[in-house]
Amino acid sequence: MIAKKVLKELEKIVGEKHVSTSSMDLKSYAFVQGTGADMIGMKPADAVVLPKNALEVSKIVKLANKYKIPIVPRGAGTNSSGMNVAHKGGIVVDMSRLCNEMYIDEDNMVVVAEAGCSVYWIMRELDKKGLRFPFMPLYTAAPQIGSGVSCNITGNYMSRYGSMGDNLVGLEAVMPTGEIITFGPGGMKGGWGHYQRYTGGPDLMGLFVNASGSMGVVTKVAVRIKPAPEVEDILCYGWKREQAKELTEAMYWLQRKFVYDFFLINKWNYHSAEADGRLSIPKDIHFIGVISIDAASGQELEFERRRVVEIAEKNGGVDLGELGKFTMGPPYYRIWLSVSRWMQRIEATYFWCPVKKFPEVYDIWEEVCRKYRFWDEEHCPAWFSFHGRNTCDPYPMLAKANPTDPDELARLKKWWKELNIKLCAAGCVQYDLGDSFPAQNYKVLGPQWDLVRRIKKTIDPNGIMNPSRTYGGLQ
Amino acid sequence: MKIEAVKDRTHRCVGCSQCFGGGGPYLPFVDGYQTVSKWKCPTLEYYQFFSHTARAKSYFAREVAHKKLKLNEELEKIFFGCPDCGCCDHICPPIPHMNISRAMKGELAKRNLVPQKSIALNKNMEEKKNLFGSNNIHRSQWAIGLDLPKKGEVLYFAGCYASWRQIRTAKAIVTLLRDGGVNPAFLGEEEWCCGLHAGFSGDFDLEKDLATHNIRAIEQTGAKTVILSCANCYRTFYSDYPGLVGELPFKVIHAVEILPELIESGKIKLKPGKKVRVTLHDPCHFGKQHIGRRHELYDETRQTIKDLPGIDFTEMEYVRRWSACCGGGNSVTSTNTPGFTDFHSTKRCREAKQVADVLLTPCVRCVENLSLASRKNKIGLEVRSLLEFVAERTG
Repeated sequence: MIAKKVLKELEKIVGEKHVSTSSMDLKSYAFVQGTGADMIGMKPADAVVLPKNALEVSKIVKLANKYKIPIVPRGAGTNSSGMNVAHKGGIVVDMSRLCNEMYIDEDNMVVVAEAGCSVYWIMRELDKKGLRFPFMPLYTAAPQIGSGVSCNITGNYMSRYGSMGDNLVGLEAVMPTGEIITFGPGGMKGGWGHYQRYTGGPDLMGLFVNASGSMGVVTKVAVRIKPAPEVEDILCYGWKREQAKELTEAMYWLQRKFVYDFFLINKWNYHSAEADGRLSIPKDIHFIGVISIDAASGQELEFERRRVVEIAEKNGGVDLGELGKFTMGPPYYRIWLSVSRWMQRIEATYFWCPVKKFPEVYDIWEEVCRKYRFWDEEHCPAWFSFHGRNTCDPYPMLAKANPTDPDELARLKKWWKELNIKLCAAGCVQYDLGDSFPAQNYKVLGPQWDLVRRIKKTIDPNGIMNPSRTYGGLQ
Repeated sequence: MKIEAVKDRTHRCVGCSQCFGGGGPYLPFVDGYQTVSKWKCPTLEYYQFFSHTARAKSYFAREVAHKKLKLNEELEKIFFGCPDCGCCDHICPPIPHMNISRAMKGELAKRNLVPQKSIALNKNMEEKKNLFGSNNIHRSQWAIGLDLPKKGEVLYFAGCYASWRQIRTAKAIVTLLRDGGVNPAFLGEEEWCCGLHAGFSGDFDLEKDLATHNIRAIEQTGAKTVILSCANCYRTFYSDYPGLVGELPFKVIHAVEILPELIESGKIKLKPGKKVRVTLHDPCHFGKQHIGRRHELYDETRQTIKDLPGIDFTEMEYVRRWSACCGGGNSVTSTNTPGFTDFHSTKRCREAKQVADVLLTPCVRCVENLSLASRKNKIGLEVRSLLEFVAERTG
């Protein structure tokens, strides 16, 4: 509960109509993408505010410091791990109104945008100029570029270019003290244009990537852009369940050869499309690899195609023809045509693992799903993973779970916990590390995590910035 | 529509947030990448808080259906404050957002959680058989002197707005039909309100009563085709009635559907008019709102305008299914949030003024909301009924 005088002060900062303590407003900010809320649990904030610029964010943060009230910055609320939920109460800072400034700097090949700008809107504007983000953030119209940095969003085309964090060249943030600091070249004389992240000292921007607002509120970002390929194509290969090692070898070599993108999906993702008769996958195929290639000319593309075919076939892959285009050909994400019929999905977890670990990791996924009776059509244990430069970034989920059934919910909770612990023990690293995740997930990071905790304590002595990012129980 | 009917489908929302936009909407089921580059849900744009998104509403409905959330006044404001323009329904077919909204309004209405002004409108419909509470005898005054027959294969259903407030539109459609060789029958006092507002406010029994009466009365005229000039009535007849009373025993068309053919065949003779810069506002009822019965009338209106001599036609950026709400959908104007109407009707007029001097629309409600905004804010935009505008240019 926030005192009336604090609310009055918030109203002075952002205007009366941009502060709410309505129970339905607060409830609407207390659930996350997927039905993860059923597992993570919800705790509504005490107030929601809608600032319009970095200065207002700064004033809110200073006020929160004065009264030691937790702050949780939030974009469109599509983070699935509950990092955008006010688990410890306090003020949710909805960044949606910071969406006015966005410009494409073609001289320096960066796009600079306020935190609340829609990623899709930027993508469309880039598209008009024949440009792209180096990678393709996997989200929809609403998600915002600032939270994209705060959550280090991933997506297709990471195999060559990495995720959002890898493409960030500058940012502006409101620090836990309320100070507004511009990091990277954006802070230098001459503005945002310089294409160089590591200027003048250590890479401080990294503190804000995947930090979910716990180190400060990101209010503006500068991200690399690139020209769209002159020519591109999509190939598709399938592997049987028992061929996980051969598949891994293929993934490794494709990534080592800097293929434009490798995207791995298991057969469950196509379940509804098959049921509808929209496509058919060979019965013994379990893994489907969708491989994007690009080139500067048709001749070069043909060379690239031959190289991919050689790697895939040498490692036991079966050509699945047009399935790849159904899956992710323009306009992207057609895969959702497959899973969205049910859409009742439960996110298992997001994590990173070395590509070579894939067979072991997938065995864990199957084993835990089988143990809790989720390895069936009824639950549709869909797996898809983006692939970074030498990593695998899986988003496994149950596409058809039913958390409203108490028995199933109890099994889901156990399944979720066991899966996370086992993946962690296998050397995987969780995507988001909040207090809703088992402790093993952050302990595995060792001394580096301890250093992060010390930094956090130094720059946020009152522990007000997104305290659900506990950094091992700091708060 | 009961909450039980949508209970299971509320679970399909994964919270991807596509439904409320911010950037260009991606429509995997419709037209893929070819949409506007930036769009935002009009309800969220006005109220700004997340509780007004389709995603949140779907979540609230789920909680209500599972008895985890009690209906309350805040939910009343949220559900009755949305114009139900239908964009979210278009963007996300797996979730029946419009049906969820309808079902929730039904639940709220059962507990009298309905805006007072909305109850008053329903009372008008129930007692006086029209939206305005006037004696229904006056409904046929616009037709005095036109000598419209009581029976015939083609019937014109004028609706409340054209019968009371925009009688020039009603007269215009009769003129156009007669020019086209059709002398339409007319129900007169036997025409009752279509009941759209009753449905919007969760009183489905009233909507069904009105539907039953209108259908029976039309059947008695022997009509095989019913022509509507009101976009509201069109939505109700085309989308709601079949769900309430089953398939209709006659064909339902909006006047704009026959205009291009009548013009092309030369049955309607167009006369030269002075050169004028026009643009077109697509009402939500012409596509987005047809729940589960996708039927868009975007090309017909454009074809009609392009056929008119002396017209300099320019599109606005947000058209067809991305046409912005006029601000008055779902009777928001007459219920609890007049500020919403002002905000959106003014914004729309300003958008139109950038490309034209005259804004045409085939919806009587849109004409009313937009012309008021133009006058009130001195925007200098003339807002006209498309049908009336066409009728003036026939000779």
